[in-house]
Amino acid sequence: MSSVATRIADRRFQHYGGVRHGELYATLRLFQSSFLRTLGFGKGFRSFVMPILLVVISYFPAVVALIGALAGSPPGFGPSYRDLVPFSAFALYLFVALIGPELLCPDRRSGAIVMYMTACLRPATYLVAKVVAMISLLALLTVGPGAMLFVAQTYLGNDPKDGLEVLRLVGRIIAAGLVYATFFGILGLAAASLTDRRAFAAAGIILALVLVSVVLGLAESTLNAPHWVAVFNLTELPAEAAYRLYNDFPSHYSAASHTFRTPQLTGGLAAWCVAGLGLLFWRYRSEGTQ
Amino acid sequence: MIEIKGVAKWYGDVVALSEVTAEIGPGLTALLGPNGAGKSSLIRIICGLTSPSRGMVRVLGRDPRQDPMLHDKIGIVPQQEHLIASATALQFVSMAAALHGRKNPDQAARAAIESVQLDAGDKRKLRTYSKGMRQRVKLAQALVHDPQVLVLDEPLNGLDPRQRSRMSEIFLRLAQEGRSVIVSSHVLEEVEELGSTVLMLADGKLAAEGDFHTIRKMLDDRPHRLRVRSSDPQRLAAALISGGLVSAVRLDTVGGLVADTSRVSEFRRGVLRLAAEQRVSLSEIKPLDDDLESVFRYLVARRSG
Repeated sequence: MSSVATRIADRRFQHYGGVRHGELYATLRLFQSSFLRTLGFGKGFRSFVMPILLVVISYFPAVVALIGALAGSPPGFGPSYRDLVPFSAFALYLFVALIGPELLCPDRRSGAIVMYMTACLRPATYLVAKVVAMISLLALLTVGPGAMLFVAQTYLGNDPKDGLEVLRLVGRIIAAGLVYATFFGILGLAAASLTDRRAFAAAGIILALVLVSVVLGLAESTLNAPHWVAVFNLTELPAEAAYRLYNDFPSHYSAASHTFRTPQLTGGLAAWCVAGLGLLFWRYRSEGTQ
Repeated sequence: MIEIKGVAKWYGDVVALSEVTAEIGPGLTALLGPNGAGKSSLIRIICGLTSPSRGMVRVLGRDPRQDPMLHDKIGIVPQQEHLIASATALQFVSMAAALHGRKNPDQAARAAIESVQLDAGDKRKLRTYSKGMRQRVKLAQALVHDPQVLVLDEPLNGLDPRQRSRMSEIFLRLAQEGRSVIVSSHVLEEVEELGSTVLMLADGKLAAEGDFHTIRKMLDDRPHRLRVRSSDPQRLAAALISGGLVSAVRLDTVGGLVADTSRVSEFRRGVLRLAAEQRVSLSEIKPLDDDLESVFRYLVARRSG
């Protein structure tokens, strides 16, 4: 005969008397969930394909350098930090256009935003979580390869020997990556905030990038437009910032590209970011509360 | 639990609510009204999602608009789909628990999902769920933080009778647990089995409030217009007049008669008896003004009269 006592488990809903965390906790959980779901976690294998592809593109030069270093290549082997920029930028454009809108559009389209607004979140904290998630995701594509190249260069013995120089280089790697990630993260989300359809957002972002580059290229080359119009060049502006931070310019960079002084360049980047944030917050100013 | 005083809401020139005053206590309350009556506006005001243009609302003694932490005490099931289609029920409800600051979101989500009679271990995405299951997931999401006030905007919309009955059981149970459960609907019959307290809105105004059965009787006692088709409308019309069952009667052109009566139940019984006595065969008795719009119009007119 069994000695186990018989009992009936109460599976009804139990009242909760425990700790209730506040707005900061809710914001952090939204950030965490947005970050992971945008990368494809919890959504099935197919959702990982595009993020993995973009990581491969972005990290390709750094991986080559690391493999070369581990294989015993001579000092001087592999790409420079400057060479990472086009790879990271390309992956970043694709991420911003094809994956980034996932952070905002479905919430509005599905109406899930109501759930957020009736929890411990407000439009401002909702957007903070989304913007930080976007910048963190993009930083994986921009800061990560620089960090990996730093490891490869250190292994090859190409790193600066002076401690202060090392810190300065690390700071430049992080700053260059964050400038790119912040600039495109904010503008990408601002564009996505204009629609609740991912496809429209993707098409709009790609069109904007292509059109701006073509129109400004034509304006500068054939119409002799003043140099300040370059402040509207969305692709060149952060690239110029990254090259300046590395103090290493590619050969195709013309003198015309250096028409900005650093304060002007910083001001241009900041103005775009402020405009993007303004649009974003304006679009969500009364989300779920009208 | 909920105090609504002189609440008005307008959007530009459109008046959604006008001078609504009511009190909602613990238990089940049905918020009834035709589409566009102002139910959703009132719900949004109660939940603090919009401000009243005039008047005030207090939920548990606090202003839902000024006190975001009051959201911890309120659960809302909006009318619109607001599910993350690519998530599982557990992921979605767990996210809601986390956003409400619950310590163990997964554990809370499992309990909430099971309390609405779904399987928390179901790995299917929400996009594959039936309408009834999705409604229950929405309810679990609203319940997961153990709110004292639960507001459900048209939760029975689109459900088949079996699903509706199952949802009604859940609402009743939640109300019995001491919560204030507000269920809005534009279909009178939908909330009939809830047997609850009722708030009726029409054209943004409070048309009636109180016990459902009293209001139902009040609705039955209003003047009704019915069409009766029979083999001999003239003879039946004469019998109805002499029997005192109608206040007016006229013959229509398609072989029937249209009768006005303020005693609809008595009329229904009487017309059968009279038809048998007069050897007239009946083919149809059809109310001509039984839709909710006319019911609500009547209530508004009666209230303002």
